[in-house]
Amino acid sequence: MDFTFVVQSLLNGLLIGGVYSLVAIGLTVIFGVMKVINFAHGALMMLGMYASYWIATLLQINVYATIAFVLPLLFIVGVLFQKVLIAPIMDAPEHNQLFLTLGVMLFLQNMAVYLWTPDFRILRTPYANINYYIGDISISLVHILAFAMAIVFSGILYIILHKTDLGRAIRASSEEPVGAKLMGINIKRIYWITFGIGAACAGVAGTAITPFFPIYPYVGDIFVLTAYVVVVLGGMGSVFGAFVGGLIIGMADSIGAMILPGSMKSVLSFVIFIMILLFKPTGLFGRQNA
Amino acid sequence: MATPKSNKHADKKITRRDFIKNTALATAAAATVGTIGFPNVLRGAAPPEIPIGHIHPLSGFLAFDGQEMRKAVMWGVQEVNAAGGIKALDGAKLKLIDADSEGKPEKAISEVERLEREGVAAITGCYQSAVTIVATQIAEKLQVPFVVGVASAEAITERGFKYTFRVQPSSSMFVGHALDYMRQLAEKTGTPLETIAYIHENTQFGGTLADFTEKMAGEYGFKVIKRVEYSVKAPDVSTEVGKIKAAGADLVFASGYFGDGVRVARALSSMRVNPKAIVGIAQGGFSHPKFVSELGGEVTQGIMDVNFQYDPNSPKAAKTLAGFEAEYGSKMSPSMVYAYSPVGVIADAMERAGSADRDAVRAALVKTSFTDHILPQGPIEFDATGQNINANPLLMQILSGKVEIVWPEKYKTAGIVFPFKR
Amino acid sequence: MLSASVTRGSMRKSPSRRGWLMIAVFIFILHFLPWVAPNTIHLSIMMFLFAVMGQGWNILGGYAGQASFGHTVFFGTGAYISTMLFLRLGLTPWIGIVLATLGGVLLGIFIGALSFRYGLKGPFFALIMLAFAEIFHMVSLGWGFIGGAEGLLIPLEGYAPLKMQFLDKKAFYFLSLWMVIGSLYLVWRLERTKIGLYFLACREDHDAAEALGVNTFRAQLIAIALSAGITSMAGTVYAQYLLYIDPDSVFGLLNSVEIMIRPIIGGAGTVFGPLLGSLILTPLAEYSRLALQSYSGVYLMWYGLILVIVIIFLPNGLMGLLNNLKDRYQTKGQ
Repeated sequence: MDFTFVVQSLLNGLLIGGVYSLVAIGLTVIFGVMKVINFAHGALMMLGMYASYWIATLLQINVYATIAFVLPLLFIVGVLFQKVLIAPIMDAPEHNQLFLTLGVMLFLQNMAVYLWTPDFRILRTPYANINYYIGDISISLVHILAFAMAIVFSGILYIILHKTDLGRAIRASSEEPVGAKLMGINIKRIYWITFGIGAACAGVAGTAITPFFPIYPYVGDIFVLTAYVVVVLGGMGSVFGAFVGGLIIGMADSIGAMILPGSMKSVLSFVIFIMILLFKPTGLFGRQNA
Repeated sequence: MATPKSNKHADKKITRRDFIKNTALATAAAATVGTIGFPNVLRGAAPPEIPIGHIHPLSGFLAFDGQEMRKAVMWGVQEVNAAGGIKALDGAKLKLIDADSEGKPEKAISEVERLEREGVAAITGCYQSAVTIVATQIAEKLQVPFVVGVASAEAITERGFKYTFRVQPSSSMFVGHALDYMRQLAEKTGTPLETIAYIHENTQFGGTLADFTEKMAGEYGFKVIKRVEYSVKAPDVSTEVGKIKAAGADLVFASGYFGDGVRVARALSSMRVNPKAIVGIAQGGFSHPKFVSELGGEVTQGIMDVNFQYDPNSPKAAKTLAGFEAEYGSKMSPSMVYAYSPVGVIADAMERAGSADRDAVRAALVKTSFTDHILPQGPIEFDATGQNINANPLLMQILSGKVEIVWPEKYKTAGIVFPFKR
Repeated sequence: MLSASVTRGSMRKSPSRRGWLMIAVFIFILHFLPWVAPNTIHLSIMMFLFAVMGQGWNILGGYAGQASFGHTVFFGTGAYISTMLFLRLGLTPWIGIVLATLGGVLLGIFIGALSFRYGLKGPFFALIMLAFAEIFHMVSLGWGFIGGAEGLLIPLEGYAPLKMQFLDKKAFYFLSLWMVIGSLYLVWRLERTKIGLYFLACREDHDAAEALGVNTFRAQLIAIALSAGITSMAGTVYAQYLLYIDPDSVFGLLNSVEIMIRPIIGGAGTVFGPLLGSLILTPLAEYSRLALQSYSGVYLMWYGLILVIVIIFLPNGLMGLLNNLKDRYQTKGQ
């Protein structure tokens, strides 16, 4: 196996890992605060992709500019999702929350099939074919931009969580909900804000990959499963963990692709997943929850 | 085979003589079961309509291809009806019934059964080999003639089935022609060609083609030195393409469908894989008109494809393609040509049989010698296994943003550029 | 979904004499359906098979409280074991089904031993099942020996009862019908045994159960073993009926959803829940496909909608609703 090939694969893995990170960050924030595992997260990402696609196509604007629309749009979707569907069952057994988000996923995915057909759509941008070369190793521009977006938004989220009052309130609610309430924090408001943020992250991740990924209703499936692995690996509730975890899993997939037949490349990631679940469920950076 | 006891199918065998009665029976059965509004229940308008069915992936991962196949089959039906329907049956028009395989073989099972219940005289499809293998098996069980349009796996015609026919070339025919063409080109241009790296999708379709290539390469002086498979659903194939690149073979062969073809081609270009030629083997994208518009002229320049094609010298072909484009606003791709062709064959069989009864149609299909087609071959005739023995794939190449036919010389529309350097 | 009061109420509640009669009559009538409505046979077979699988899930998820999001791993394992044994060794599926069930049980014990030893429950257990299912899915896609992505095709032999192949679908109808009846009976008996009580104890309060001396590890292991076995068994029948299996159809995530959604909608932790769920969802999927005449994945939209509505408004599923109505009717009658 030659050097160029290995480096190229790992590099691609790293870059796509950035996108996994962004998706996972949204998921981990939701879980950290509300202890809800959102199965519909991939579907939210899919909605973000379609939103970017339609806005870019209909308004003829640069795909990256669509973030200005996608971010608030998905935020609102997330808020509504939480208020209408999750809030009523916050006290129900955990299974129910899983089933509910699963139901939402089924609904959103297939509503997309019904509305927009299952056809693969490709957003054609002038930079989809631009590549930079270091020796024989190619780096695609759109991959780099996606990675950059992941870093930027992860950074923004990290700052919000650690440097703002809202962020502190969110972290307090996640670590100690009762105490937070006693301190006057409106938990209900934190819940829907957090969900909105999580959904917005998924949406932005969708925009990031739209220039190089086909857009179709089931696209979320691929990412949602990986996002779980990342969240658990990084530690549920830890943004930093989700970021690092995403990069690790991205590269694990590449390594898997190098040594296994194409269809099995994620086996490695899932084995890691099982190991973590069994032996270190709090993940790399997660907190020991009571 | 023992005859089962009281059996609706056994009863049907007797009543099937009279096709109209069969339709009424199916209609009555559907109504009794209470499935509301079976959308394709015949309304008994005069002259009667003859239903034929087609199974394609109208949804799911291959929906793009499936919808194209559907338009092609519809166009075939429209042509037959516009020309007066089945004259031997008083100008009865063909009626097409859609069936969605969703790209999944197990869906085909219930769809074939549904089509049978709806009284179709014959079925065509399915674009995917895996789906076709399963569908033809059920059709054989239910004794419904199945004329395969697009599906290449050898196994489709190797099971001794009596009701399965195939218009397109089989996998071994594809590979045989491809290797033959490559060897001819090597000799004509004096290019040393020996090694092949093959990237293919991992189901029956790609797998069988690759298997045959490995097996038959030696006969033509070639050797497959690397074989890489990928999943149609994989969003990213760069590692797989990386393995191909690392192999450094003279030729890169690729088999797959449109969507993954786009991804593979893009990766081959961005990773600067530069063999003497990139040759699709029945690659659903490489000779598709939309392929160039997706990727741009630069990425696709020089890519070759051994695939179906219409006959560029045939006036009927020109007319059919023009009509299709006028109707649907898009060009008929080579795969669509082969999805379209079975309709003519089925209509011809019905004319000769003078009946839409399934067994009569089957018997007529066996004796087919159909010349009113648009394929680059002699008459369509089926051998004992149901394979169209004269089926002939052509070699295409994308030059200056257009898909040209470059080999054999008899059919060419442009001069070939070989070997190709980016 | 698993509120104690309802299940305590429904548990051990034997049908009255009239109830038994109604059930017996219903089963009797079902035996004639293939002749009365032959076009529904395929639908019924699918309905029954999924009811059986749903019942399997129900034992682990409904009664023992461990919701598995990857239950298709057992279904697929069963299907592949019997099919491979038949294709490679010519072993009749009648024996193959026993081995397939055994294989499923062993797999269940393996997964269970790992998961329960490390105290996985709730969403974590759901996710680990999902992970196992996906691994099996991917391996079966890439492993040529068991067919790879092309799947396995069982050659059509027409009428070959010794090889579990029948020209007539009715045979499979009755086979699957009796599997449903068997699974209903099994769960009904389970409710009335000590082990069934242990399942409930694990579900309701794991730690309290431990404190009271229940060996929760053993109880859950038995639950997953039973659950896996039933589901694998259905896998063999499915393979023999369709004569074709491939990784996507038997190991895919969608299949896990189909298995799980039936007991959830019908009522987890009840005997009839999975069957009820299947009776509603299978025809719904079929009908919406025909009626809408569009892309056939759309029935999943209904699944999603119904799931959301049921979780919010009817957490005990339809059986829960029926039981409530029955209680109200009975109290009114007094």
